[in-house]
Amino acid sequence: MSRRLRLLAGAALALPATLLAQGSVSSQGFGYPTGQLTTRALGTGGAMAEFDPAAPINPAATGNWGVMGAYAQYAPERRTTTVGGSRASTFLPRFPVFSFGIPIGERLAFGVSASTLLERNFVTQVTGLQPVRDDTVSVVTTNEVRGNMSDLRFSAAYTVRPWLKVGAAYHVIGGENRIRVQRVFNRRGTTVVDSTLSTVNENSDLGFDGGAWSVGLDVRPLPNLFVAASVRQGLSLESRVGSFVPSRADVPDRMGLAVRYDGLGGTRLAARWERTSWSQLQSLGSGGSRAFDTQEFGGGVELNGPSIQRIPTDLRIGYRQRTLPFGVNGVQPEERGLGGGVALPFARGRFIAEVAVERLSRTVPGLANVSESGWTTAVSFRLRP
Amino acid sequence: MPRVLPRLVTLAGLLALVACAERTDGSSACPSLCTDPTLAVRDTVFDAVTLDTAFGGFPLPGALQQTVDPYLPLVRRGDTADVRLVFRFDSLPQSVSTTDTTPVTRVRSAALLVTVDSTAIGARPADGVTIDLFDVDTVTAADSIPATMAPLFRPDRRIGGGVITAAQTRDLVVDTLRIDDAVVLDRIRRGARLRIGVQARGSAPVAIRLLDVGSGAAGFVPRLRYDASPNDTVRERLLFTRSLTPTASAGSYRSQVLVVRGTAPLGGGALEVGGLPAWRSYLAFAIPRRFFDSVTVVRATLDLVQRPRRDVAAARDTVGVRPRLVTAGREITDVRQQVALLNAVLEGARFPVVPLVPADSGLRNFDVGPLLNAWATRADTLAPQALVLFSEGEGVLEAPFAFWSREAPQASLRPRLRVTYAPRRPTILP
Repeated sequence: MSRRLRLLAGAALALPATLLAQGSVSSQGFGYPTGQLTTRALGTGGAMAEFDPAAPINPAATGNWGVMGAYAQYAPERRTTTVGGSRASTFLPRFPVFSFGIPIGERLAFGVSASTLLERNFVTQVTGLQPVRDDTVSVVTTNEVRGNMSDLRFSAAYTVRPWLKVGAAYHVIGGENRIRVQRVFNRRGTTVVDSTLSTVNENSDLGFDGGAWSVGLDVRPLPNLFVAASVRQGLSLESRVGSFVPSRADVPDRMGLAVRYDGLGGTRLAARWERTSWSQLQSLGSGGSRAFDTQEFGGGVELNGPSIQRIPTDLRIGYRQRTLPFGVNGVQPEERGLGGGVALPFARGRFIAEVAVERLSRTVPGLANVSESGWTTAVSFRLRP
Repeated sequence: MPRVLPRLVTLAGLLALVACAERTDGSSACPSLCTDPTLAVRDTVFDAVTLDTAFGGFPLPGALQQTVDPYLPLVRRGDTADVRLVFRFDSLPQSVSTTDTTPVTRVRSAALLVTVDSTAIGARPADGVTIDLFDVDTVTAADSIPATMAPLFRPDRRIGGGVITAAQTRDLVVDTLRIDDAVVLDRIRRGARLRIGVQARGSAPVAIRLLDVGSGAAGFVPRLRYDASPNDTVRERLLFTRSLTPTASAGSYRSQVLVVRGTAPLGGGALEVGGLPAWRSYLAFAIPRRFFDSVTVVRATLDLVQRPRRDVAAARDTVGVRPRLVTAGREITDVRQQVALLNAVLEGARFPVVPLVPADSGLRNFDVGPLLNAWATRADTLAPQALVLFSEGEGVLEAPFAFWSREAPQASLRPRLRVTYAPRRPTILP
């Protein structure tokens, strides 16, 4: 008997462990990439992300804090997923970006930021059939996943010349996915629990442990023209359950390039391109969900609005489109976003409240009956005492 | 201030816009976006029984019985079953009351108060159950043996009785069974003990249960009531059962079950369940901890092969049999004591009852999934991996059951544990 039990235990450990029950287009695989965009960037189609010191993207932008500052953002998404005629509406609270910057002298600046790299929160309940012994019973499977993969970044920027800033950063990639799967067996064709069958509960607290380096520059080649670029080089990334390491991969590499033109009075035009090698995460999962590299293009306008205490407000509008990293049935989804926002200065500009709203639509090529739309409403506060 | 107010209102409005409760249920998009694989369920059969044996003699004497199930059976079914009770009042106070030390000179309204357990299965004639009370005190030392005690239940020893109506047996009602006042007065004056034999009869088979939950619960134990005071303002005396013999275990015999006539066991090493007096079967298992650590049990059945009992009373009656969890701690090494100390509260979940007919035979599946889950979550050092097969009609119904044990000549007849399980996943990756 003991030999049989050893074999059973071995078989249990060798089983593929997959879970693909997300119930939405955007949070397949390890979750939805929030983009690490600040409210300013969100309102301009992501175009200002490389320049914004609060955004944890380009370490050279840390030099743009100017004075000591802090930033906090709340950006929930209302999401509606439509499959055929059926719709699932969800509301996902997010706190995607927190950052802090402090200049040291005229040229040096340091920053710390915490942001959401991938957000994964969902609950689904599916009723199906399950063979048990010589019978088939009804099983109600509830999947609940909470958590995210986060990016804690320590950055430094140096102003080499008044027209050139360079920066470097180290990223600590962490976070956790708390996964709860419950299977309740009902008598077939009823909602009455079958008392002869025990409920199967599976809990897994999956942690992430990894790192990355990034470098960037922010250069002004012409009086009103700014160019920013950054590159992130991913290091090793492990998933962990306690001391057990079920999988390893690399943190996705990323590169981005943006241009901004300030030469139209109080109007700023910007555009940005970004590529992220999410496919490097493929080996972190079970293989049940394919990971793709993504590209993002965005453009936006920021212009001066009415002044408050002689400090102009900012009005923003932008558009972006990108591909998403985790496939639906092996097909890479696409996302488009049209957004706008406003920045309201208070206390003579020491405290800036920003609001942005972005309308998102997601599709999966080849799956005409599947679509998803969302409204992201971001509210943030930028403090510069 | 007036200029700030509109901005604050604007900010508050924006916050209200985004301040909603989290809602993450995306079930409506399933199954298209929820490709959840079928649970990998496997099935295996263990020859995991390490010890099986059977014990008879249930229900136990009163005080022991109270720790297990708080009832006392009273059965009279033709010439197949006769279960009687004895209540011992070995110490009768000789004063009028606890505050009045005047010797008792008269007794009025003497009665035995009992509470019928209406929740129990059994038989109740439509015209009620007649209860006869007998003086069963005897000087013989063997005063707990049915063979000695049964002859004392005779007309010249009848000291009272009463009728429990059919309506009363359907409710939790305290019944008053009158006792001859002179008998009680005589025992008090002589300083003698009063031992009351209780026998039921009716126009049809009788099988009822009386509650006896222990001396601490005054309303649910048999008790002797009488009025010994000439003063009407003094309350009647209420005495609980008390035994002074045998010295070593007197407390166990406060109330006593006498199985005068019942069913004989099959014998021959069979796993026996039920009957009168009732049998219980004990099965111990050895399932390694590493098995529990690597799987989730979905279903488990104890597969036993029933042996027919066609030559006994109630051979065609249907009675439920169910497994019960052994909760006695490891320090109790006496298996019979483990079997006796079943405790419904500690056991927790009640296992499904399998209705059986004694005359039938064949494979029977007892669902024991919760039992394995209890073992999986309980430290092995707390209690043995063991169960007891128990008849729902214990003490009341004479239907006996027998199963092949691990000593059966053919392997296919022996007890087996069939487990359906899901291998435990070390983690769940997307």
